[in-house]
Amino acid sequence: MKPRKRPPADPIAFERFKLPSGDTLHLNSSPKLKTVLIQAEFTSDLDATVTRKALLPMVLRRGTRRLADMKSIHRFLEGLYGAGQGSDVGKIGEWHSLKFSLEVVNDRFIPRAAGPAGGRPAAARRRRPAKRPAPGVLREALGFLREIMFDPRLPGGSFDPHYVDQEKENLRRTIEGLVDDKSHYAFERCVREMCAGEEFRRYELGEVGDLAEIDAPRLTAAYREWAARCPMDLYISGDIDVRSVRGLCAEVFDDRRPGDLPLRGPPAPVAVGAPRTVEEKMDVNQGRLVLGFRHGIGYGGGDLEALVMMNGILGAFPHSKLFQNVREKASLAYDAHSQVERTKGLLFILCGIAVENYQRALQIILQQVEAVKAGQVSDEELVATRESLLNHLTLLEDDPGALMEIDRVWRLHGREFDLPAYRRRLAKVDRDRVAAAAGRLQLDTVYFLRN
Amino acid sequence: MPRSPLRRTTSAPPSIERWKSRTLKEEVLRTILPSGLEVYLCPKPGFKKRFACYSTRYGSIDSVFAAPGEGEPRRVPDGIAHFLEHSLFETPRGNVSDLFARNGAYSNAATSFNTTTYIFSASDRFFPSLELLLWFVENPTFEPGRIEKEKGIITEEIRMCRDDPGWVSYMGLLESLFVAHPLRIDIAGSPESIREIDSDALHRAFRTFYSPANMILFVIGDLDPAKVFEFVARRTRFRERDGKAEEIRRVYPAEPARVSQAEFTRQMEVAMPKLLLGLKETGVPRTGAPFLARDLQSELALDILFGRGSDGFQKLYEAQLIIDDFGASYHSAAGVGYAAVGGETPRPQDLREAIFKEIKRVRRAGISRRDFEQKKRKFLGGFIRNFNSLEYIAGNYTYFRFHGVDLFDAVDILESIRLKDVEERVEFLAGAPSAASMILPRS
Repeated sequence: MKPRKRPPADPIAFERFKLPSGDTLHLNSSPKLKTVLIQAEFTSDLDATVTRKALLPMVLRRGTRRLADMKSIHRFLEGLYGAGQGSDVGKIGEWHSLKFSLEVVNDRFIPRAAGPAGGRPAAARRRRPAKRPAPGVLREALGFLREIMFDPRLPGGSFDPHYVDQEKENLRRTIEGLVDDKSHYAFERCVREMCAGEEFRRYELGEVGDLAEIDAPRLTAAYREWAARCPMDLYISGDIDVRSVRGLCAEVFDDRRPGDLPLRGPPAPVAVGAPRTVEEKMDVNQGRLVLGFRHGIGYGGGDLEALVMMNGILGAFPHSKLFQNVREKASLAYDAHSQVERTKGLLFILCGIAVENYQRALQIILQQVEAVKAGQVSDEELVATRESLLNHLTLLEDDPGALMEIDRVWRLHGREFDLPAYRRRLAKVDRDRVAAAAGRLQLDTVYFLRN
Repeated sequence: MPRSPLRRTTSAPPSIERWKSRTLKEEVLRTILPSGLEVYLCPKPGFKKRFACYSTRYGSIDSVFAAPGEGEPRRVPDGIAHFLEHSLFETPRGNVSDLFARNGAYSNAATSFNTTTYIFSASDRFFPSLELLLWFVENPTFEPGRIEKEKGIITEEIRMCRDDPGWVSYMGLLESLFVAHPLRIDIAGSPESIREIDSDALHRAFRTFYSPANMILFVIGDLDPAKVFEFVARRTRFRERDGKAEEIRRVYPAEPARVSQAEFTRQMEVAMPKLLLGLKETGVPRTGAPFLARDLQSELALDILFGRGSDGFQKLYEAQLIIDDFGASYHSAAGVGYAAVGGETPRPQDLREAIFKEIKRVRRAGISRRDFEQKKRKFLGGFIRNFNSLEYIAGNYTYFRFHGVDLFDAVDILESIRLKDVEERVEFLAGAPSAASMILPRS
């Protein structure tokens, strides 16, 4: 095998370009991958439009101008060797995120006999060793992604009312279906109680109550506004040639969009009063306990690395205090962990317990928080947490989707994710800084789903 | 047949065998240690992640067995394979997760119907973690106080699953489909059954199934094969063939063709009803290429019937009988198999009828060659995509090895499937004994 030219830069860094549409293109060449991952990301404010924005990808996937229904869309994707297409609606602090993605098999894995839909002549393939995706495949994929987002089926200038009604119903079912997953339901209920007066309270898929006032004309108007004004970040990662893919993207995304939708800044910290307790009854076998804390440590100032270390020591891993004490020592739960939210400045502790063990579990959990605050952290806990976090960072290099997400979130906070520098800062966090970060934790809400 | 993408060669050093797939551009190397333990390595140049999984061919369906040297097979408490998996994590040196974390590695384990698997992933300092994996899986200490604590933890795990409508409907389906086969038993057992588990029972299960010739170690990552094989050979406690694997007698009761009950319903705190329709068969190939072929043929048939690009999916979606989570899959174990079709639905009985109707319609109308070829192409693409995932490769390679077939063969087997095979699968689905599992909201 001939030696291959490797990109000289940091393997995880993205090269960035402006597209003729005005949007930003982020490219990363990773020779080890068998597929090319394309993600188009849109960020807007989380506000009263949350429900209709969540509805958009659901209606968009029903048909484009060229591919009039879902079946035609899926047949087309099957022709591209079963390209994986998806959309995702999420929440980053008080921002709302829409993501459209497409993953195609790299052309060099496609058997020559078969070839892609509308395959190229074998001679063309031989000229350049078939190791990078053929422009044909990637062009089709990019064209399709553009079509799904910007060229929907609009008979008579508006979304098909039949599709809109069906997808409204599907969204209603999905929102109401949150209750089927008791742990997730309990988490969202805690958020809602804790952040009652804040934008963060909103569930990313929206409210059933909003659906009544959405109809095809209103949704179309919302779509046109979104499609014109919401800026797009287009990420592509795989065994790609940056120059040619850049050219390809410039050809596909050549329609100028204003992309001038204003975006609010990261949320300001909220003052905490006395902790509140909320209980809800349901016919469940297991109680779900969620504790919501505020820490107010964000990307800007604050000690982000110490926050991440503190969360690791407290509850992110099986070796963490929560898992060891609530599960392994007290035998009260199968799962007990914490998760940190960095944009809004929150931390949640979650566990599933027998209802009668509520007081005991709560007491043990709060003891663990107090222990970290008091710096009662062993050398083993420090080492295990640091090593686990560093390992996690190393493994990011294998995961293009996760890298895209991290890159995007840091940029939303006006910063660049510099992995080597971040590693160095993380490795330096000591016990005192962990305790100081824990000292910022203020218990806001205790939510308990019980029978 | 087109040219085979599979080449099997034996190369130096003599004890190492090598499988290559040209289609996937992957290779796997194997050595068999004197103990009979099979060690596999899949080199993944450029990947930071290094991953290992140590598996035994032992799962929840091995509920009646005779250990080597025993006379009559005995029935064990439900959930013991899973309980054993939990117990291995407790060692005199502390909890295993903790020990892995000190190397920056992440560990976990899982018990399925027919396998138990212990995994870790790491980047740097891979070998200390590999040593730890071998050590904790091969050297159990079943300390009575700890066993009691584990009962509390697993009871909460079972309670959690009993609140999960997906799991409840799935187990409800298996209970309904099977009359005698241990697939109908919950992998974790019940709070009552695990109370019977003690250190003797755990030792007996361990002695029987954690025998080197019944196990596979699969390692994957940017690693030197010879170094890995040599390391494992030095560090494993298994030195020589103990002959146990050959002596294990697993008893699976004869399963009749009929189902145990046609319908399972359970009321739960859910927003929308859920239907899982099961279609059952017996006499399924247990091993080798026929096992894998049956799996692929069935999945192809189900995708043609109910996949996203199918008329069936379109119709059901348009009729608002299904939402996004609707799907169909095929599974088999120890000679029995079933297709499961379903998802959330406002009208479970109507969906049940509509599924049958669609199967019968396709059986009458037949499958177009174009459709068939398109689905094969989609499957091949999906298969190649999966090979980005180290966990997928390790887990599935091991799983199919336990069934006597090489995962790389899947490309060839897929290629060799004819339209007639898939039509035969539709025929089976149209005539199979069936059961429906339904979760209904409390009202």
